[in-house]
Amino acid sequence: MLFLLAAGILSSCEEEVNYALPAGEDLIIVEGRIEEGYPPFVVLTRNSPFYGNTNFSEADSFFVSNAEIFVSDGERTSQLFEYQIDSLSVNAKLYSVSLEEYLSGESIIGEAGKHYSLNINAEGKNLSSTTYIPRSIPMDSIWFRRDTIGEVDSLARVFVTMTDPDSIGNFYRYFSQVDQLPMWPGYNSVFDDRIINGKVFPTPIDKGVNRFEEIDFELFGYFSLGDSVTVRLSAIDERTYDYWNTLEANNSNAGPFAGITVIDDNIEGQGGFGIWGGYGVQEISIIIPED
Amino acid sequence: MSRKISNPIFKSFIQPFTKPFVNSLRVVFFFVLLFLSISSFAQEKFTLSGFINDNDSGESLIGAVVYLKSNPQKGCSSNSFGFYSLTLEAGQHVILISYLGYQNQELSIDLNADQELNIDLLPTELTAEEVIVVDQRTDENVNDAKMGTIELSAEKIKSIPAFMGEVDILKSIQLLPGVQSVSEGTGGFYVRGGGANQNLMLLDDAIVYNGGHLLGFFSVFNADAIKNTKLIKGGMPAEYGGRISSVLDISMKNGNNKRLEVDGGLGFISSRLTIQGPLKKEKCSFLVSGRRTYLLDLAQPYINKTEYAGTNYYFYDINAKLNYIISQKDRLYLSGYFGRDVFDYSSAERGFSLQIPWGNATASLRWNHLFNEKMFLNTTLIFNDYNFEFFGQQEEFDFTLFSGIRDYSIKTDLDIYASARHKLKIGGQYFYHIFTPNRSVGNLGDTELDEILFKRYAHEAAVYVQDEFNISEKLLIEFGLRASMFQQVGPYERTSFEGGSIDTLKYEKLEPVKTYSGLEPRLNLRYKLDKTSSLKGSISSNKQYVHLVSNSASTLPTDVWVPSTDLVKPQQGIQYALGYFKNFDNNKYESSIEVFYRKLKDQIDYSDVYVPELGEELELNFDFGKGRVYGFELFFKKAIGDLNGWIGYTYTNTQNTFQKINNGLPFVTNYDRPHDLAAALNYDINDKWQIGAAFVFASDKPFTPAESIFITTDGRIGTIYGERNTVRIKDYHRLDFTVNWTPKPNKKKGVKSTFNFSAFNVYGRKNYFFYYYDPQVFEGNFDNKMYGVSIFPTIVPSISWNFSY
Repeated sequence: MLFLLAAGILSSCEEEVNYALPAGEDLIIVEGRIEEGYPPFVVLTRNSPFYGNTNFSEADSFFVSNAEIFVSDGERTSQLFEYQIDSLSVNAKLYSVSLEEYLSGESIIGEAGKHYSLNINAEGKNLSSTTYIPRSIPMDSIWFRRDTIGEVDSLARVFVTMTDPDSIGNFYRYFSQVDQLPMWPGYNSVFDDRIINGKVFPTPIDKGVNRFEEIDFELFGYFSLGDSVTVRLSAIDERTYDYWNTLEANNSNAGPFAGITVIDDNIEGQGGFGIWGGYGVQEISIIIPED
Repeated sequence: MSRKISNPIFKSFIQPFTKPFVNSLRVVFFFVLLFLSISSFAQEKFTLSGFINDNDSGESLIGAVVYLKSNPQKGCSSNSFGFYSLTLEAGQHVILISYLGYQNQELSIDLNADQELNIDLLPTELTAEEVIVVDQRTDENVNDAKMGTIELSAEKIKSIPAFMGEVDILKSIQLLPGVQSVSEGTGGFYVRGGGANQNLMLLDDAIVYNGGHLLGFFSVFNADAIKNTKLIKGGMPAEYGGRISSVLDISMKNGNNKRLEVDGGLGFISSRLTIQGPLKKEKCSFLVSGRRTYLLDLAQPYINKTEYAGTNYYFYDINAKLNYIISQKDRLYLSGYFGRDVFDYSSAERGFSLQIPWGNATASLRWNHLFNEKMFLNTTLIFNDYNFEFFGQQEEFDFTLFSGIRDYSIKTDLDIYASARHKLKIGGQYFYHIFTPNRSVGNLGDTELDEILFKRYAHEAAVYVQDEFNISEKLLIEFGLRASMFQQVGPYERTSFEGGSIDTLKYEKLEPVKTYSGLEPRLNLRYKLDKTSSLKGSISSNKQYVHLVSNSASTLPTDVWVPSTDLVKPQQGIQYALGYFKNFDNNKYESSIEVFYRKLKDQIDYSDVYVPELGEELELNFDFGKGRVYGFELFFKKAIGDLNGWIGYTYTNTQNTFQKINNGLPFVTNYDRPHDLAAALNYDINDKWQIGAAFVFASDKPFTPAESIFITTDGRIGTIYGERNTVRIKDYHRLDFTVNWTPKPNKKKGVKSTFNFSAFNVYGRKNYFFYYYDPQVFEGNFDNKMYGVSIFPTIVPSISWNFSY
């Protein structure tokens, strides 16, 4: 917190503390998502002891393989199969519907207003969850404004106008994409409508953050002139909001003036942890000219 | 025709109150009957009464003892206005008056009628040679029924080493057994395992809701304006209530009523100035005391050259008091406090600015009236306010946040010195509370954001009766009963979404929403084993109707007080304590052992998954639980002599259980420090030189271990924590040292100077203020570290100049 200013900074010092923290239980970490108009996908990884030396680029040991995964909307059930993708900075493994099923149009595709259940059987653990895809909120317009920070004068701040429905309890998560790069969520990617209920309002969109690379906090949030920007605004359910909201607070608030925040996950079953979330999706794009 | 109460609002306010009230009335009548029966056997008696004052300044003295030379057991002590009343058999008596730091006075009186006698005591420091009179009545600690009660005069506090030369009441009391601080340099204090918000802090009868400046590094109590500090850790008398842990009762000076006096000081961090004097000699006096910090003011020219121009932090406070002795029977006191912390921050490049002012204001008007030599009435009108404001602006987004609490209150207490055996006290207090836990307005471009406004209104009231009954030479009982009630009233609206349907509850102005009431019995017992030792026991049952819930372990300006409501029950606590008190060597040395056990119900905390949000309804994020604490305190003190001081050790074991915290398993509190040892030593070498030292040792406060981590597809790291508060790393200890040098101690005229040299953390112990985890991704690996941060890792020397004119 900023307040610490006067008294503390005078003479404060910090040092690394080497304390043998107790090792926790081995968990399967679930990150599953079903977006409106897309088939579901699930990534299964492992947790690692705080002082462990897990190398998560070693896909074979870091990702959980050979899991049996089913997603159902109550009428249809699809099994998800393992894929290896090399396009990300890590060699990720993920589970999604089979290509044949997808191409035949038989597979589960996310639809707003529907509930989806997830069942996982992996390494002797039975994990399950359910989620819901809320109706998405259209964005009315997108625009940008040129900005300068220090010497850098080629920056652009991007805004969208959105209309929050007139009932409280709407939750959102946003992402943005520059050119053909991956779609990254904002640094703080979720928000609710407690103070914007029923409003039409312009909201600044921070550029999505690739946390696998070092974050430049100096120019954080800005796009650059020449970027081709796509903003994705997703309506999410409360459990999905709680998960990302607690996860984002989880590491940022350890300190003298705050307690710890435990991540509020929605995975049921012994030995599992994570999120199964539904997203009602809207996208809007803009090309920011070179000058 | 008799009038009936027909207003339903009034009725429902009154009804829950009448039952406990009637019960307490019965108790009062019981005692009144008891006195009548006792006094009817007694022979002819008369009462000696009056005020005890400092001879030089006319300042009233609190807790001075008046007793018979021939029978020291027969005596009384002056109340918080300096009033005493002693009933004796008719005839010749020699009475002694004693008060620590003052010369004893011996008076011969011939009592054949009720007599008024005001007594002026001479401070010992002004005598040519050191007069140490060890009298028989410095054994209050053994004699009194009170347990866990410690009084510190401002003078005593000034002899304890002070951080950066800033004398601080809250930090001084942290050196007492049973009192702990949560972290280095902060004033938040924890008594016998209770929370910081469970302490009742009073300044001239007005509640102070937030005792800290600058995140608690400095207390709001300016030592220059303070006369006396009383801390009650256990066996709280029935006259106090509303908090379940302890009472810190602070009295401001009345102001010198004999001559104009100017005192002040220049320090590293702040400057102070106090002016006091008579407006009408020995009738009417005033005191104004102010202080202001200027650390960042001095840096302004530099800051203004950076992009952070406009950034500043300071705090100031003003204490003022006016009092008027209308007659021997009537006195008026008007006292006030106003303090503000101001933090401004701006960053031009980011178009970002913040202004954050916060602070307390209190005012109390007190009227003393003597009905007769045995009945002393004090009635007080009180106003108090704490608020926190936040104005933030970044680009097109601006935001104003406000939270606060405001009370209007009236209180009346009647001291009845019924007989030599009974001292009775009856009184009551009423509050009207206005809580604003959260108000926010903001704009995003041209769009006005929804105003969030949560306001809560409540009545709080209590009546009490207590009696100090000297059953025999050996047995003394202090019995009390307090009946309290709290009522949340409208306007109030709450929407619940439970079960899928939306329900709105709506209450009109002053319409009762929820009422709580209850009885709080208190008992203190003293049994004298012999002349120098006694056994004491106490039970006190307390209710707390207003709550401060914080998910941090320190006091923050953003901490918000909330009332008991239909969703939040009052906190309840009961404390049992047992003690053995023994004095040695003609009361030169005092020692005690106290054992305590307390049970706490309806405790409030945030759940594990709580994330603070703008515009939230706090109550909906609370989790409720129970707690228990046990422990013991050892205390050894040398109160008299050039070399004086104390050492105290406390063992505490806390345990809380909440449904939504730590998976429902018991855990220790954030401020749990099982072992705590503190010693303070003071040596008056001569008139010019005085040295002091303080040493503290405490177990590390606990924290929650990070057990494992994971990574999300977008590279976020999640930390999975183990059981709450289960790890301690490094014990805390620290030594402080102070030297006071008065070059010309006997100077009677002009400016008298004292220089204070102090050193905080003399041997540079690196105590950790907090720990944090820093999980990082580095070249496809987790690269995780845990850090300990010490904010004062080296010796912090300081010098300050104090003057008095």
